[in-house]
Amino acid sequence: MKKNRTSLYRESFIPIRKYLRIMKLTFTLLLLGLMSFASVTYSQATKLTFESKNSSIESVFKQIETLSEFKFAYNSTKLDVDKKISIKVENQTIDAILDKILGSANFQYKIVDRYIIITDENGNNSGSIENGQSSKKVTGKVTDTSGNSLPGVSVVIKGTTNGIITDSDGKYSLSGIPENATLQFSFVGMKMQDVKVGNQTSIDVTLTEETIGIDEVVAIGYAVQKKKLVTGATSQVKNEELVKNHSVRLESAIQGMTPGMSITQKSGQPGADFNIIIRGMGSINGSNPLILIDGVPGSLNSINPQDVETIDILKDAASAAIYGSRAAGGVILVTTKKGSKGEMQVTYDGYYGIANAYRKLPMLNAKEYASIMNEAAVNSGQLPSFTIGQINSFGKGTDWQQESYNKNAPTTSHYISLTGGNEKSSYAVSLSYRKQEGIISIENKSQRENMGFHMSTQQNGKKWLKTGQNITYNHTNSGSIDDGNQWVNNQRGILTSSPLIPLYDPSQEDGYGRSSFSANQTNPIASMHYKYNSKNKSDNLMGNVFAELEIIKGLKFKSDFGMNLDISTTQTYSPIYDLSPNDKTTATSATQGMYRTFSYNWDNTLTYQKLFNKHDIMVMLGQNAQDMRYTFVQGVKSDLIIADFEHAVLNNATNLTSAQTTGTVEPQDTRFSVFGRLSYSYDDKYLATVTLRRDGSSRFGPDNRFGYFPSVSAGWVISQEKFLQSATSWLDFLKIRASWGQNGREPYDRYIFMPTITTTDRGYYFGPDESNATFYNGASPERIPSPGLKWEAATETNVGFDSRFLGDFSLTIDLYNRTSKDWIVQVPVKAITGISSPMPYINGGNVINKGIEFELGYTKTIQDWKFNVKGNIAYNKNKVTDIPNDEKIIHGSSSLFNQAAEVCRVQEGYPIGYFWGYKTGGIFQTKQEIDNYIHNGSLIQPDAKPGDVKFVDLNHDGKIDDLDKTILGKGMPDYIYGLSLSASYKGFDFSLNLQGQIGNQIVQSYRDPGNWYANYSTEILGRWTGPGTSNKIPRVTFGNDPNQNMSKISDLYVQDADFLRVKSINIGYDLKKLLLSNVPIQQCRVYLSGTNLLTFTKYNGLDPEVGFSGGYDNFSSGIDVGFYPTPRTYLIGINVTF
Amino acid sequence: MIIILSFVGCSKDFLDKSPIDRIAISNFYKTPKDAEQALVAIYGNLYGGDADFIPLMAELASDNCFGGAGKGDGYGFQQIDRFQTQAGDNVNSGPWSRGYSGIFRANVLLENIDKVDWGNDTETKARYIAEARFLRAYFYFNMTRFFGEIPLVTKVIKPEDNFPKSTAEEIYKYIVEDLKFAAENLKPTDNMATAQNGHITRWAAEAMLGRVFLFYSGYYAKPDVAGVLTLQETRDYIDDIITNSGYELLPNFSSLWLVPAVSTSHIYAGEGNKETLFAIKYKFEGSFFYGNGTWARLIGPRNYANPPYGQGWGIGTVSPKLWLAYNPADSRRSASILSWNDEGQTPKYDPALDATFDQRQYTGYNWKKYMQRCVVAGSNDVVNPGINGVVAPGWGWQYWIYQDFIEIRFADVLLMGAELNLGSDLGKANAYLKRVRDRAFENADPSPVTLTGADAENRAKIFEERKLELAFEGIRYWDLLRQCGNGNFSAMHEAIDNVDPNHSADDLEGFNVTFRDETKGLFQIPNREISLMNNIIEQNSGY
Repeated sequence: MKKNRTSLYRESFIPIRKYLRIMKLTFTLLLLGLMSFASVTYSQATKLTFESKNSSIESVFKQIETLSEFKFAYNSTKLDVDKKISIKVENQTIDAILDKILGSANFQYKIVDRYIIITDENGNNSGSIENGQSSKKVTGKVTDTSGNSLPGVSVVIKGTTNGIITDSDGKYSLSGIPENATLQFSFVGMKMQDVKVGNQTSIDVTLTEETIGIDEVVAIGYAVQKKKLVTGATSQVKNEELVKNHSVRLESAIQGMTPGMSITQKSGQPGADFNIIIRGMGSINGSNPLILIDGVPGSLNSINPQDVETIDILKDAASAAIYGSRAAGGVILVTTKKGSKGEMQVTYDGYYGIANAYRKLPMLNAKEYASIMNEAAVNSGQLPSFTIGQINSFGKGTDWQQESYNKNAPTTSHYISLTGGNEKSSYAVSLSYRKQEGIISIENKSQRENMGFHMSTQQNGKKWLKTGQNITYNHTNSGSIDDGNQWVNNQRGILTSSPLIPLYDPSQEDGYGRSSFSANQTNPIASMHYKYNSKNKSDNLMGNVFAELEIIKGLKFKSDFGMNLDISTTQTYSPIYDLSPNDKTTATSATQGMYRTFSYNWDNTLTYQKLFNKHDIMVMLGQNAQDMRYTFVQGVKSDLIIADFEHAVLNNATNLTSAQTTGTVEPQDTRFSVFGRLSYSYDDKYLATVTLRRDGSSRFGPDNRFGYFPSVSAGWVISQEKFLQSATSWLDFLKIRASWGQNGREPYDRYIFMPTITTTDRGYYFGPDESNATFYNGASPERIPSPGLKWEAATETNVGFDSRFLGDFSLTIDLYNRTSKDWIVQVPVKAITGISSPMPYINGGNVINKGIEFELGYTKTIQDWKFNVKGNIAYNKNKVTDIPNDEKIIHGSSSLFNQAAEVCRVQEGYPIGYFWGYKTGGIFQTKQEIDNYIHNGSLIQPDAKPGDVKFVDLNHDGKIDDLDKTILGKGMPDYIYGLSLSASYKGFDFSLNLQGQIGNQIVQSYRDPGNWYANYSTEILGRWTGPGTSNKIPRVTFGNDPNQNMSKISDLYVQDADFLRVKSINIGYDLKKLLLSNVPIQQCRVYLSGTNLLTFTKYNGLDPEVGFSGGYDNFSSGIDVGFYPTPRTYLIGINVTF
Repeated sequence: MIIILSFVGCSKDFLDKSPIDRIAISNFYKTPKDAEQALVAIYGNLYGGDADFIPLMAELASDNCFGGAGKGDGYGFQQIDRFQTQAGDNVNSGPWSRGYSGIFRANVLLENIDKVDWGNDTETKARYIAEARFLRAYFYFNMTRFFGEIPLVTKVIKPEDNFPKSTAEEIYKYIVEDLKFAAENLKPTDNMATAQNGHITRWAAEAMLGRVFLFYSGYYAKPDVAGVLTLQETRDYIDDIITNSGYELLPNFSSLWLVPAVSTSHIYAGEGNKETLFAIKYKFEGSFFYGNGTWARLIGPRNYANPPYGQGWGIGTVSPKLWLAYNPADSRRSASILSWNDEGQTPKYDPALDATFDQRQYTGYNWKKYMQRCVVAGSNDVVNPGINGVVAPGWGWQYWIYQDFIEIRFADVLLMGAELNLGSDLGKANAYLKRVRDRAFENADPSPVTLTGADAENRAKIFEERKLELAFEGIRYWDLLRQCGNGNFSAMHEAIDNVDPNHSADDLEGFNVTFRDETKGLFQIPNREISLMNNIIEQNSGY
């Protein structure tokens, strides 16, 4: 019997990965280093008690396997497993037990995770298969890409169950191999490799990590799951990808990396915010995803990308449904770096770089400007402002863009982290400092400085108890220039200020030039000097503490308490200045403000997992409570005793009558939820998950306080099926998935369900005269309450598949259809009710987002070469199908220029926030053309003159009015895509990241047509000046032409904004490989990096990536009223690990 | 687990939160202080209104002004001037919604006032009711003059409640009942204390009854108001004011307004003076567009500031006809109108001489009453002389406009008295008129006017006097309209129609104006409101 046994394991050879499958998800640690840590932990922590009399070693092993999670691997040709032994152990570790069992024999054992490999005294478990006639023996060694030997790798003769595992040195020896055999090397977390034996007698193999890892673990909300078992549409971005872009903000670091996630900057200023939209805009109230950092609701801004281990994006409603009422925009789960067992590892990463604007707009110089102004005056029936002599004397004038650049703006980063741990505890600690100067500013007014630390610790003190803590602190110190809407926008001033204003003028007291031309003109550099004296400091402290109790085997209770404290202060100084009659102050003043937001979050979950034969069941029940409070105070006071920025504090201001204070405390904003999830899988083949969450929120009235958010999803790993076994030569993995789920969005405003009294704008001044009039408070009902208001609801269906094929490729495709309805919208109510403002809220509206996402990966290792390519592209179509009012339109704001019509709106049948205006049909070249543009015999544009814009009479009613306006474009793209390439050869590494979008437009208006003297870009030189000169740019006027060439919003303002951007290129070299081989340093990588190196676009503005909405509407983007562009940065850095 | 279960148990309390910076309605209307705040909120509704401030729109529509504004601006003001349909769905939504908001606040107080624990203080309660009812009547009167027949909402309603238009008779009956209640329940001394200045008095209510009677009996050509207000009653109310109130004319006409006073070397009499019966009380402080007369920023000369004339947006350039209507000896001419040439301000202001000057429909005349005052040449800074010379710098002139808007002043009461007494007591009528003219001509009237009967000719004398006396006070247009009873709009055409030989009739840059009979002098109801009311009310004819 013994002789017949040729397999290594009891009964037959079973690949190791199968054993691992049934292990606890949460304990599945994949990297080898982590595995050894975990095994020691488990083997140390696991104590067994049993008794066995006169049993075979094999049956003792079996008993141990039943009592614990250990699995045995041994070569039965060497180890006599039939030998009978008697053993009694009481609360002993596996080491002690094994010593007892094997003590007498010359065998060694090695524990890899829960896997016990038993070898002979030489560490050798080589075996032979003596059943073949012309068989041979092969020996070799298996290593990983770093050259470390891999023990426990299974080496099998393909097509049989015959094989062996590598010993503790990674060596194997296998005999009895038939002719033409192929050896299959496999190990968990590594890619399986087949090697034809042929004539070889020695085969060394290097296994590579499974980078497109189907065995990876991903966060799914309150738990982790193996990626290959996930049934929803999720994406993960890992630390090594995040740090490539050297971004200060996490949003920028993940741009272009996830299919279907659109991330666009609202400004290129240091620290500026981003617009994140996952799978299209689902509400007029914006589509921001819910962000959780180690389970604590927070902002991506409050975490350093280098401290992030992984970011998981839950895209479809089924994946996000476990977060219910706040998940309609998707969920982003950030997991910070955790410690691991082993010696302390110290990493330093530091870089220094310089940033510059990569584009400059060609604006008119002084001479050109004066000629155009003269022409505009004449065309407007006025006298020219300048004589020919004056014009000739002007020259270039002031180049405001040039003057406003902060050339070679420095950017610095230092990051140091320590990780380590032992069996009982582990830690990860980091300290970071980052400083960035803005590319547009004088006197360093646009800058951001940030320092912080992150700590993550875990304790495994008891077998039944695991605890951990995370804490992140961030201090930010920043200053900024205005880059907001058309009114507060320094960049707009820079682009449109007259080149005739001298930058400096020694005759002025402050040395700054003034306009001698118009009271409405301000020197924009002087304006920057005087106006942007603002210090913003913010402190964010965020952390959580958790404990996980294993009550009985498989049943775990976890309680996780998190807090987030955000305090920011502003201090602003307004000096006395006089830049023009319309732009001046007569007193100094100081403003101080403080905002504080505090929230806590308490999650309790109870999880039970059990494997019954091949039925794997996991049940989770949970409860969550959240509480948020917000405090705000601000004061302004004039007449400073010491009039400078440093001393701009309220106590230093003397003018009591000027004092204005404001302050509020928002009451507790609370949520209470219960949720559950049931996951089932059969044989890793058939997968299903059902979730349900019930949310309660203080933002709703008692009648509608609770909402239910269900989801179901299922997956089928087809590649596990027998009928696909024939395809295994090329298909490694294929899973198809389908999901359906619902989630919600809550209103921004509080207490809109409750009838309240307000005193705001209700008071009145009574009294005999101006000096003695006193303000009396008035009070009346504030609004029509909405007691029946409920959550906005998104319902999404998703189908997709994940696959790996030809060994090196992976492909994921998802198709989705999401209907978002019941938006919380304000609707006009008839004014006879007496409270038509603010408008009451109702639920209504409907938008459908449909799309498809592709993600393709390729990884190849050829000897020392490693390649990795990852590309993704997503298409989304957004269409509004219902608006809850008679008009079927929700109007946008006038955001483009003074008195401009609304430029974007939400309307049935169109994408959310589409651009609305007139189509143009060229320029009237002659009077004849105007006279020919008729309807039923009368002129369509009677006010037009040659050189004016021909507007298209879309509805053919003979006049040009609002009814002729139509869709001119949209701010959201049809396609977003990203591509990353990386390659390494020995110590060298290279990476390239691309990002882009297709199908969106930008509405651009730097210039207000009513602002006569605003400068133009040189495009205007191609204007119409006579028949045949231009069919696109109308004649210049002072904006008062009766035809309203430019004061009507038309397609002349709209441009395509497709772009492809080389987001970053990195080149690195590890000096360790060359120079420092004797130094105890693991890595010493120096790198050069460039970000935003190239942008391919037809858009003629400063930057095609405009996430700005114009400053008013949550449903729009792509409005460029003067944009602070993304800088181009070159940096050099070093990364040392020891 | 127990902790969690108990947590679940109290989740109701955990989620049941109340606002901190607001009061739940269930906790309000309990104390006299609450009632006072509810009353103040009705007054608070007097604030608001910018380009859609009804008195401003009425001046533009009258023969006093043209649209004006800047050359690049839209033509909204021209369209008001010309009785044209304005672009946009929601034209006139301001006058409509502000009016109903005031009515709502009055209705809220009146419905809740019995819930207040008044103790023994029935007097205050009665006064609050009287003031609330006056204000409700005032809002209705302003709206019905402007829009004609409108829904009469007499209580707090639900969003789904809908009301058709009421007849003019119903509306005016309601107005008169409210005003009469106020006139009869306010004691002669109520609110006459200076600290209470701004609150409604019996005298304001009586004056308003005069205004209501004259407009209704004129425009609707009726001898009395819906059987609730007769000519005799009205006459008695007005005579009561003139005889018993203690209000009187100030010695100098121009001292009533800041810039007119300064520009004619008089001392501004300030607010709450002996001539002002009812005013909207603004103050040089506060927040953007609340508590300030922001509408007044529109009327100043565009891009021009030369003390005392402060910059504005150049809206409502004054018709030369009005300037010419004044006798040069009339002190009201230079107090009411800024004539650029006559005051030798600057020739640069003339667009013929300065191509960059951005003023549409330049006439050479701007209205002076309510103009913002400038203190430093070329500067927008406005100064409040009342409070330690506090300066509103920079753009402060746009909203720190503190000069009260006088709704009713004693000169108007005298002229109403003269008009009402034409058919009954010519001696009284002449005496009242003479008081107004003597003040205007500083007791040296070169061409005294004598009233000789109640015929059209004598009434025309009073209308002419009212035009000169009350120019730019939001009264002229209604005076014209009330001469148009029985659908005969000849008075409108005679006064308003204007021919500009240099521009085509439809060129909005020109000065052509023709009254449109089909509008009946009424303004457009906001289309959006009509649709929100499921079209149960009709748009006014002509729009």
